[in-house]
Amino acid sequence: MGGWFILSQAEKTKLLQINNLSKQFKEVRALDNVSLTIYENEVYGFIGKNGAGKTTTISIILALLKKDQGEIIYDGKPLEYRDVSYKKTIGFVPDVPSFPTYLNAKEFLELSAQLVGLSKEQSIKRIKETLEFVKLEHVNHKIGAYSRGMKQRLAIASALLHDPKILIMDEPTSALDPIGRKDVLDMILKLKETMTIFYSTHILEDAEKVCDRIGLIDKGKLLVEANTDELLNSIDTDRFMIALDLTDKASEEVLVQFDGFKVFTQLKQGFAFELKKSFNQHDLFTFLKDKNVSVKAFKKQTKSLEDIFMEVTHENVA
Amino acid sequence: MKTLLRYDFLYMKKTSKILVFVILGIFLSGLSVLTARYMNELLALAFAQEGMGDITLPEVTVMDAYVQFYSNFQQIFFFAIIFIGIAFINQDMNKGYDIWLFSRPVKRYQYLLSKTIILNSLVFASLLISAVFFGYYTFIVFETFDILRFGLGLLLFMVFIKMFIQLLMLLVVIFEQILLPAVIAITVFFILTGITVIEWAIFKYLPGHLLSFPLTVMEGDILWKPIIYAVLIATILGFIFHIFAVKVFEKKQLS
Repeated sequence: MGGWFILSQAEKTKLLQINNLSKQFKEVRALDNVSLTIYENEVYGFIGKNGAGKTTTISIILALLKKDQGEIIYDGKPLEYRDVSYKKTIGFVPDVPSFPTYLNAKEFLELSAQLVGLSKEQSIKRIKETLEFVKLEHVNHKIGAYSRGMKQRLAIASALLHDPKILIMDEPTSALDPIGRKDVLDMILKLKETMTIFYSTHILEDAEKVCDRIGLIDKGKLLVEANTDELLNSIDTDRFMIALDLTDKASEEVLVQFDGFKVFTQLKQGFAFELKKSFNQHDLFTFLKDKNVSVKAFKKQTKSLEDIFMEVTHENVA
Repeated sequence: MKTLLRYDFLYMKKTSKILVFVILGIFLSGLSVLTARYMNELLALAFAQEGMGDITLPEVTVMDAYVQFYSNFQQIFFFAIIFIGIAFINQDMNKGYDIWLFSRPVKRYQYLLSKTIILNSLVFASLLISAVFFGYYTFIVFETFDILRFGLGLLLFMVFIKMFIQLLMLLVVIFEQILLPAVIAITVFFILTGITVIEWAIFKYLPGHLLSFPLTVMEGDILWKPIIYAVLIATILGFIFHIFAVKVFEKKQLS
């Protein structure tokens, strides 16, 4: 794992454990010995680019695909491909929900509730509750007339009907507009108080907002598995941000003459840069002082999940 | 299983497939009786236009109505079954509804069984309605209708349809599309009906004969041995198609 670390979660209860999961599609190794653990009542962010192996992993968990090798232990029991009973405690939200367009939302939710074994009385109660939770209106309209956002709300309602132990979400915000995305993220934040969530995404900003732990997957390999906060805080950065008095155009020209920049980018609010190893920030200040350039602001930049992701996947390529 | 049956029934109902089958069945039944009744008038008109007005045509009988009924149902109605059946079986895989279904605790063999039950039930129910309408209309027009023989003939036709629905199921599960299964099914249909001319060994009992038996039954000849063998072979073939479809579908990678 190239210098990365796994944080201990010994005190929590394991809900879903994947050991050495592999899957090959003809020439493509979709999953290569993926092992990960999801603990009860956490939001696990499963992060990776398109084609990294996220959906394949989820499809194997749901027995939509057959694994080549490896083991999945859910709620203490190893999963068998033909045994579907464990799905009674799993909720699934796909990336692009495809539901029978000729049904209305109510009929669809009734069928969904019956498929997971809810009685008629339970169905009526749960449908009402979940519809209120996802704030879905026009339940008597045909699904074919729904917008993408409404379909996603319906997908979440359908996945929550049976109050699952784990909610698996496969890129639920990937095709939503910013408002739709925020709504879904708000729902996840509400749900995380009572439910385990396996949240697959390639939108790192979203993962940073809602995930307790994350696993970074690239080209079928799990590269990192760690606590989100600790991961973000533990990694030091050598990126800085400097803002000069922009009325003085000459200052800008002086700044670019500094020899110590490894990376230098002009941003709207100033300049972002990384220093060469042989230089430090004091060298820069001394240089600017000598040239009589006044600094308006200076700060060390924190790393985002995106930076970490880029770094880790870059290491994987190397 | 009950939920799957309800789901499949809702598809048939909401997409008007029930209405299509029933209306088509009744229309073909009515058309069969009318064509038989006015066949001579129509032919006489056609011959007169060609300058052959002096041809004497044999008097139409109730047998002509039976012939019309089976030819209409074995062609138009049967092809409707092929296309609607394939679309029905294929729709979940084609439109991605299978992900919704199979991420729930749904057993794959139950899923196929439900599709088989609903499609067979719909076809049989619409055939029965058509047969009742045909029987009533035939009695009104020709003042005779042999319920027992017609019922037996219809049962034989249903056995053939049931076998064919299982074949459609297998083809759709293998190819996951509409066109290729339709082409193969139609080809198989023509082969099965074509080889009925071979009256040798097992060829005498192949399922294709189930399409000609109803008329021989109506004509008065009930040859029980070939009928029973053909029914048995069709049933066994249907069962084999179903088992294969389940086996293929159990291994199917859904994504």
